Parts: sequence; C-alpha cells; structure tokens
Amino acid sequence: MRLKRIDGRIATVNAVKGFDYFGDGLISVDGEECRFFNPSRSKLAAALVRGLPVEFGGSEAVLYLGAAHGYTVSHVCNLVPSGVVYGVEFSPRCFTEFLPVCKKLKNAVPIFADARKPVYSWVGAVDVVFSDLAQPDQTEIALRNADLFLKPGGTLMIAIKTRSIDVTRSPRKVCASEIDKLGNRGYRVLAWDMLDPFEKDHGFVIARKEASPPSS
Amino acid sequence: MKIFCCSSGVVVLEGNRVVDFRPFEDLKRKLEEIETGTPPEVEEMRRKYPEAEYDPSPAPVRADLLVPDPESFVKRLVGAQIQRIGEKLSSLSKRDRILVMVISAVSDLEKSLSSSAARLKEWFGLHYPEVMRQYRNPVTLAKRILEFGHRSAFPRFSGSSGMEFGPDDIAAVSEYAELVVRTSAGIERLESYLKRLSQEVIPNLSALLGFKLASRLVAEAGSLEKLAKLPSSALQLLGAEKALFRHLRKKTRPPKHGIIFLHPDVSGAPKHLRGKVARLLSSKAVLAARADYYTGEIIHEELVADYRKKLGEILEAEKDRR
Repeated sequence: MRLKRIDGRIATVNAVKGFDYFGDGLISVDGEECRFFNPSRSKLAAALVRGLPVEFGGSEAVLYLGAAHGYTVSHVCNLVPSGVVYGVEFSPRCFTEFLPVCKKLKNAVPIFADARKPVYSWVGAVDVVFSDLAQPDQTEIALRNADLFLKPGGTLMIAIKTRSIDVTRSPRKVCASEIDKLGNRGYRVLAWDMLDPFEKDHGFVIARKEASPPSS
Repeated sequence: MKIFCCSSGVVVLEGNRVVDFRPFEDLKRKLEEIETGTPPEVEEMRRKYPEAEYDPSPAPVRADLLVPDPESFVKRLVGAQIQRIGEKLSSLSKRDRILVMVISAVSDLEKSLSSSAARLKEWFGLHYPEVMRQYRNPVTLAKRILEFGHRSAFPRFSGSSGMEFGPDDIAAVSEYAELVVRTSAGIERLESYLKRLSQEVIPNLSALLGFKLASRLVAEAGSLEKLAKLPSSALQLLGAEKALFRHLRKKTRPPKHGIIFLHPDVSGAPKHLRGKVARLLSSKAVLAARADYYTGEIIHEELVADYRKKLGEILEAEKDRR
C-alpha cells in the first residue's frame, strides 16, 4: 500500500507532486514524495494508526460518502493513484473548498447529492464504499449505497459517529448495535474499533460484502 | 441481457460480460440526462438488442474501465462534474443565508458594543466619575465625551474627585468614544436593513415573533429550510440544547424554552405558564416558517389572530383557577 510510517506518524505517497493544500507537510521517503496524514483530522488516518486492517491495492474505485472539504478524499486519492474516488457531499458550503481540491487532484470526482437519494447511478460499480456521515441513519445510508454500488467481495468502511445516533447510550454499545445491522444485510465484519483518542465517541468498522447476498 | 447507463456510456451486459458499449461524448449533458431520466442512447441500444432489458440501477461494472483510456476519461468526468456543481451552486438563490449573516453580525456587534461601552465608562470615570450617574445610556455618554472632551467643558460641572486628564489623554478617550458611537450607529443601520430583509424572506415568521427573534431562529436552525423542517417541539427548544441533553443524560428537568424565551409573551408570562405559552407560540412559528419557505403565502393575519385567541384562553383559564 502506498502508505509510509515514519516515527509513529503516517504519510501517503503524493500522486500529485507538490500538492499540500491542507498544509500537512511533505517529506521524502525512499525517494518518494509523501504527505503526512493527520489522525486528528481524518477518521481513516485514525483507523490506520489504531492498526485496523485498511487495505488499498492502488487501482480501486471508491465511493466516498461525506466528502466534506476533501481532506480524507485527497489522501484516498494518493492510496488509489490509478483508481477513482467519487466524493459525495450535500453541503453547498463544503464545495468552496472541495472543488479546488478536485481541480488539483487527478482522480477525485465531486458529486453534489444527498447520499440518502443516490441519483448518481452513473457511478456504476465500485470496489470500496467509505462512509463518514453525521446522520442518525448513517448506517442505513451507507448500507443502501453499498447494496447499490459495491461489487460482491468489495469492502465497506464506515466511520460511526455515535453522537449522531444516540447520546444517551454509551458509544461502544451504539457501535455494537450498528454493526449488528451489517451482519443482517449480508456483510461480514472483518474488524472494528473505537477511534479514541483521535476522534471522541467514534467507531470504525471494516466489512466485506458477501459474494451472494441473501435475497430479501 | 441487460442495458445499463453509466458515466462513460451505455453498456449492454450478459451477466458481467460486456456485449456492446457506446461511449458518451458530452459528459456534462449525459450526466444530467441520467440523473433526471434516460438518455436517448438507451433507446438506440434497445432497438439494436430487442431482447435486452433496460435497468436504471447502477451498472455492475466499473464505469471508468469500459473505455480504453480510463485516466483521461476520469479527468473529463472530474471537469464535467466541477462545471455542473458550479452551475448548480450559483443557481441556488438563498436569501436566507444573507439573513443569517446579518443577524449574526448584529449579535456580534451588540456584544462588542456592550463591553466596549462599559470599558469607556470606567475609563472616562477615572477623570470624571460624577458623570457616570448622569448618563445612564452608555452611548449617550460616549456622544457627550465626543462633544465636550475635558470634564470642565461639561454643562453643570462643579468640581470632580477624578484625576486630571491632559490633552493627549482626552484625545485617546475621545477616539474610543467615537468607536462606540459608530458601532451603535452601525448596529442601527444593520437592523433597519435586517428588518427590510426579513419582511422579504420571512414575512410570516417576523410578523408573529418580531423580525429579530425570527431571524435569530433562522440563524440558530442554520437556514430557513432547516427551520421549516423542524417539528414544533424542536423549534421550542432551539438554543436550549445544553439543557436538553443534560436532561436526556442525567434526568434533570426538561427545558421549557430556548431562544423563543426572548419573546415578551413567553418571558412575561407567569413562570409556571411559560412552558405552555412557549409550546403554543412555537406551534404557530413552525406554521409561519413553513409558509415562508414553501409557499411564500402571507398567512400571518390569521395566524396571529388565532395565536392571540389561544394565548388569551391560557391566561384566562389561569385567572379562573385562582
């Protein structure tokens, strides 16, 4: 994977030379230009630092729900330099930052849509669905998109913001009950963990779409 | 055999095997056509393969790998999407976003005015402490400082226990007084603009609640759309989130009102009736917000009349009980 670990910090190999829009800092490792990936800014980075088995081959198509300003998207683009990242975002404000990022990156496709209503059927099949939403029904939204777009055998990653789901129950319990939903829908959970101390009250789960989903 | 539409073109599949593929030229137009309906190329494919069925769901194959040069295709796709999104964003006419900015600016300035006016009072008080009691309104005091400067120039000056200020000291405090006066005038002008704006954007809500409280609610919800989609109970508690979550977590007593408390009918009601009045008022406020957002119809006359009647009933019932 195009990911380097340097003294406990992580960095991705820059696909676009000199790109450092977010000011993470660039570093040269084994003759390759790398950009630091900050676990306090990205739940994917936090998951990587926490040692979750996140894998990217380099040529996947990724459907990214909740692209926001494109920070994580820019690093996913580095991880799949010969693939494509579809970044879905519904907040008009976010695009003032996200669109310039897409202009600079080679393979980030911005999509202005509500992930609840996936009108972007033109995306076609993808190898990875990544979801980072702050909605009470975030797991259902992610599953709906994974059902539609994810190839059998593909990977589903969800950053679970427990505070959007239920503030009264403990974050760990909320995560556990959300993860139960995956099993019932034909996804096999490979690993999950809480993201403390980088993201408070967030969980992260990695699951695989079973080759033949149970017909419901 | 099935026909699918994806960003790169129309594809005919037998299982996952590509039978035929027709690439798109004008991506921007085709993406729009797929999102709103069916591009004409699908009909052509249907004629060519009468046994094939059109499936509007996402194709089970990767769109970028259908073309010979995926890299340059993705580049075109990115360009098309950036253009489409740019056009969509600029066509979103959202006057309520200006409203949110203006009411927030007014709130910021009010806060800063109140602390700088207090500072001015203390500052000038070193020189002429007796004047502090003469001018209750700090902005009036600021105006007088600008007008007279040194304490001996004030009307009815008859000695002071404060320290002497030299010309340089007076110049500095006068300059600060000018800032206070200007801030206050700026707030007034912004408010009169806000009043006009709210009559345009939220006529019903401002008629019911007054333009400032109405605008504050829009700002608190984030936008008029969000406010219009709230249930009345959530509008009632806008601004009381801290108390609400404390209640949910620790079983403290639930809050009765959020910023709607600023309405004189709520804050002026007897304490044990405030929850009732807040509930009534917010139930009418969501109706007003929805009319403002969805239909733009003017319904406030009826709404306010109905509200007054029910408010009267609440207060009347209270009198009877005693």
